[in-house]
Amino acid sequence: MSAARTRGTGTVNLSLLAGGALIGLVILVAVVSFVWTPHDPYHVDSTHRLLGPSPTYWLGTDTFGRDIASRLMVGSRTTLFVGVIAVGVAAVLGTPLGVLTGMTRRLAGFIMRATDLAMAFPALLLAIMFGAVFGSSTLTAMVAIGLASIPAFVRVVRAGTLQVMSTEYALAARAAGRRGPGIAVRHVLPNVMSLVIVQASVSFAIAVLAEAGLSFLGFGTPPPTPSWGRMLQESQELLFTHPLLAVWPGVAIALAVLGFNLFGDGLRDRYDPRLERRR
Amino acid sequence: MSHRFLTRTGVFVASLAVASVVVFGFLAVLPGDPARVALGVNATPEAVAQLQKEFGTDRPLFAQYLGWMRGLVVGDFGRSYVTREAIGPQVIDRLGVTLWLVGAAMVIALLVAVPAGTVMAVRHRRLSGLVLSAFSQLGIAVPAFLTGVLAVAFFAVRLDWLPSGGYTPPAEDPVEFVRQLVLPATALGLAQAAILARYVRSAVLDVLREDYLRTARAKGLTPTRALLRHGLRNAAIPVSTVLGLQLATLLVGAIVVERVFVIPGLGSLLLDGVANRDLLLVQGVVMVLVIAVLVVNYAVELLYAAIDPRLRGTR
Amino acid sequence: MSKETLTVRRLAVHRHDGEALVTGVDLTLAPGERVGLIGESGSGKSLTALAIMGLLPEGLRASGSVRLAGTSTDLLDTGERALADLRGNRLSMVFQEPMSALNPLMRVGDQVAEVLRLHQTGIGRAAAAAKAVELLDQVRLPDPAQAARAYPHQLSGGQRQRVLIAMALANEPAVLLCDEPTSALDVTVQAQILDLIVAGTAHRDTSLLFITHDLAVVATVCSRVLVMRDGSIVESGPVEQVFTRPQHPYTQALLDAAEPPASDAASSVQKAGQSLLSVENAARVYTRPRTSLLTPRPRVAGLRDVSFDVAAGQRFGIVGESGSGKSTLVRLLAGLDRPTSGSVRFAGREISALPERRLRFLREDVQMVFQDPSGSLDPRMRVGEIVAEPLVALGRARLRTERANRVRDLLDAVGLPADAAVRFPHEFSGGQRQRISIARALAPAPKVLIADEPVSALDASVRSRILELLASLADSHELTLVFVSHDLAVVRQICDTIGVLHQGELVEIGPTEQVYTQPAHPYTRRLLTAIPTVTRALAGVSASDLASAPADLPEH
Repeated sequence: MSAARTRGTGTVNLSLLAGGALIGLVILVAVVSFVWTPHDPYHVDSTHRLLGPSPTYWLGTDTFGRDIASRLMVGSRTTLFVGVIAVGVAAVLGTPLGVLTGMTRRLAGFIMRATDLAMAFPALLLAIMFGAVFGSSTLTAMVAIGLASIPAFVRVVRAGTLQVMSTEYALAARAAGRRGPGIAVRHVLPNVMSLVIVQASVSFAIAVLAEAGLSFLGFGTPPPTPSWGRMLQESQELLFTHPLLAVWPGVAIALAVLGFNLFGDGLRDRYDPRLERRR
Repeated sequence: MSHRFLTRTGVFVASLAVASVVVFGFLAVLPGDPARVALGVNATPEAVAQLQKEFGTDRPLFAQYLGWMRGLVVGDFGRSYVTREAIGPQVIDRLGVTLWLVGAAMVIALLVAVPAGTVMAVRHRRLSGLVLSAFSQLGIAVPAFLTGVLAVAFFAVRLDWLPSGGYTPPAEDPVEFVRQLVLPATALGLAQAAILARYVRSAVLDVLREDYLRTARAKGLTPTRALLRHGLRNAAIPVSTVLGLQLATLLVGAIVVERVFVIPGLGSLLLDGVANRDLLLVQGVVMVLVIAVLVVNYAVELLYAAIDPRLRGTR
Repeated sequence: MSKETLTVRRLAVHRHDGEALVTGVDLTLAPGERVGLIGESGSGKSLTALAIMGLLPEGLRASGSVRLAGTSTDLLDTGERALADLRGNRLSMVFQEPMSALNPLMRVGDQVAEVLRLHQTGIGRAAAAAKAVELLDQVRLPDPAQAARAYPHQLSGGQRQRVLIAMALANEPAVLLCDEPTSALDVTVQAQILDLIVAGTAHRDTSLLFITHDLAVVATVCSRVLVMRDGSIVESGPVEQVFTRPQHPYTQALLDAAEPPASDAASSVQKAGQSLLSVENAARVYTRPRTSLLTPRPRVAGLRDVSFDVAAGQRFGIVGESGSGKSTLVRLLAGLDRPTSGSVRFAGREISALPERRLRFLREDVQMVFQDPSGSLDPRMRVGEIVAEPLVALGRARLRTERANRVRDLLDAVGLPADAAVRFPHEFSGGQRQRISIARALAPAPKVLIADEPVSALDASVRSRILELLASLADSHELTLVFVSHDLAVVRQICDTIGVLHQGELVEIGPTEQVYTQPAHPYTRRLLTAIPTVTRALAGVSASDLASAPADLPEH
């Protein structure tokens, strides 16, 4: 048992560390951007259009002469903001629904069918529908991505709840005199919390991707606020002459997604009850 | 007919009905009357009423829904409020284009993900497995539209090997059709393969821990043959669960990839509709996308019974 | 020396960080010889078998030598491909868990035929299929042709184990290794499987290495025995010698635990007090999900028409095999489930119709101890919180210090140190966790303690200590005990009255010794016949004797 654990932590730490470092980097950049950026990210300067990387402009300038590094820094705020709100909405709504479907018979069937159906509306499609009706904004993007992330939480938490409810300690709690809500709070929630955290990390990665895709299509945060997806889309027309313009926002998106996915994977390996059960 | 088949069918039909209500209802809440929007602010009330009658928007919402549904069943999506063209033929036409793209991407994804995921599981403690695993993580992190943009920059712009976009019907020019499909389908398929490979990996890892695989080894099968003969079919069960969901992701991914490669598919139609505020068109396209996902999920549910004898009626 | 079929010398198993899990194991098997390998969990007995088969889990390495008659090389130096040719052919193995050991997607007959086709060149598909049916017939599956077409989920655990034995014996192996092949099975099924293994190996002159924790099974099946502890063999010799004149104190301790003396409780029926728990015509019917829209939901009777009384101060034992309805009965008694019909009363009050919020009186006076010592404790709670849970849930001992004092007293009563309260369950051994579970049950000072298989998951040596603890607590706390188990020996040790459950019915009830010595119901007789004991085995009772059922009961 201890063998599996030490072996496990060896590899787990790698994913957790790398993921944590990448997430930390994105957060750090976002925080720093509030007080300092190399240049004004909104400053249009036609004399400095499309410059390559240099000591002054670390990553070069875009077609309006704006500093790409500064815009990427500020863009990370949009990414994190959308992700935090969307995942927060999904976790806060999805977790209780999952516990409820795991503990009660009557509602479970209905909620699970609704969840299945909701899975046919991925974040991007929902956001496009929202955009068509309410117009595109950061808010519609957040709400759409958040709503689309709920089913994943419901499923994961329900599976965890069913597992907890099938244990003898849940039965023991009933025999000890605890009722449904007490069992939910004292036994189910603490034991499914690890699943919620893992899912939050994975959903965050999905949210970053969805936000980038939305901005790429022009549905996300409206200009001139910088956003990685829009920067990528703007670069597309200049692909023939300045391919680097596409690389920088692409790398930023990939690193952020990679960070959250690795972090989630690392957490999962750490919490996975199956690993503990193995000899 | 087993009970399972009937319930699944019932759930499928109910899901279709609920989905149609959601899609219709959602887009019906939009403020502003389509006739007034179409005619502009200076239109006379008579002209607006006239157009409302033509669009059918003077009827109660429920009647409108029924009319829309009745049309859907026979492939009549109504006429666009903006261009006045029939939507049905456009949707059918564009659906074909998107299906080529998504189908090709799915094939690429499966061809890459199944072997890669299996190797990742079997060698999960060795270097080759870890390297593949790292690649799949990277693959998930790079969205299809980014791969697409970079692929265009490299293969179309720099090397000039393949066209940077467009679409030619296969009946017209099969060679050009394939050349144009290669980059978008690969971009879409690889992104999907990375995700799918993780599912394959965890399914195979689970199977590797099963007692019956140990039994197979004790019978005298080598590890590889034991996995091939007893493991993979068992691993296919959890993997096929996600295939239906994967299709939803693929269809949505196609919307963006079509934009990158200027492909006249459903995605472009949808985006055009949104840009022109052509709601009936948006409604139709969204509905077709959702139906496609539900149909595939239903098919996968039925497929289980073919794979798994435990789900076949009697026990 | 060359007459031995299997010769193992200085076998050791190491983890790749160097830690030794098995060291210096020597063993030989003569043709047709049956040897037992005994050890408790973690002794390394399973690893020994896996090392011989070359099936050690990743990360473990074997050293020493393993030689099989008829092969020139040491098995430990043999490559995977050559080893695979031997497995299932000259060297076979049967594992513990029949439920998961068969491929769920493949017909049983095909799985048996596969092992034939793998090793017998030139055997055609049809011939292999026919031979598979023949083998299934040899392991006494009813209607073997039908069974061959079945999928594993359509067979019971005992039937699946028969299939696995058929597979293992299909190619007439020189050596058969059995790793706890009957530990997951009911005792009556165990008797049949043991009979089958003995008959099957004797018929083929196959050498048998039988691995188990159960001394009585080894005494019944084997002629020679090795006792393993902490990775090495501590004693070996003929069964008769080792079990009558054990040299090693560990063997002696195992023997003492295996053949516990009947307790005083069993012989002296307690003065019957007032009836405390009373079950009258209780029945519980479960509905299964429907399989067709045209037929109603299938109904399965978990319990039918059960009536009995438990008097205050009594130690009431309930015995039954899996599917007998004993878990259902426990849930009804504890107010965790309701009977479909009939009544359950505690201290004269009907509990079966009450909603959860009105069962407080029951929760205060009736507490439970569960089977699985790791599953019945919330892994994320500290032991102190776990023990105090009934107090908190019932709103007793509201002050923190008061609770802490109570927890300390309770831990002390079950023989755990006070500092256990701040630790987590996974830091304790199985036996200690069961003590925690008992402390929790005692927290509200209940009148009745219901113990559901409380020692089934524990090793024999730990088992007797937990039973002693339960007995002494029952005395000191004036508890009424309801003790549920599949194991008659355990129930006999602690209870004064026994009820026997069979397929949802209470077939017999009476004072322990009476049920033991003069069983009235044929099922009880069959159950008693099927139980292997060291004493009876040494007196010459064989596996086929255990399996000989009274004629008036159908096999299930």
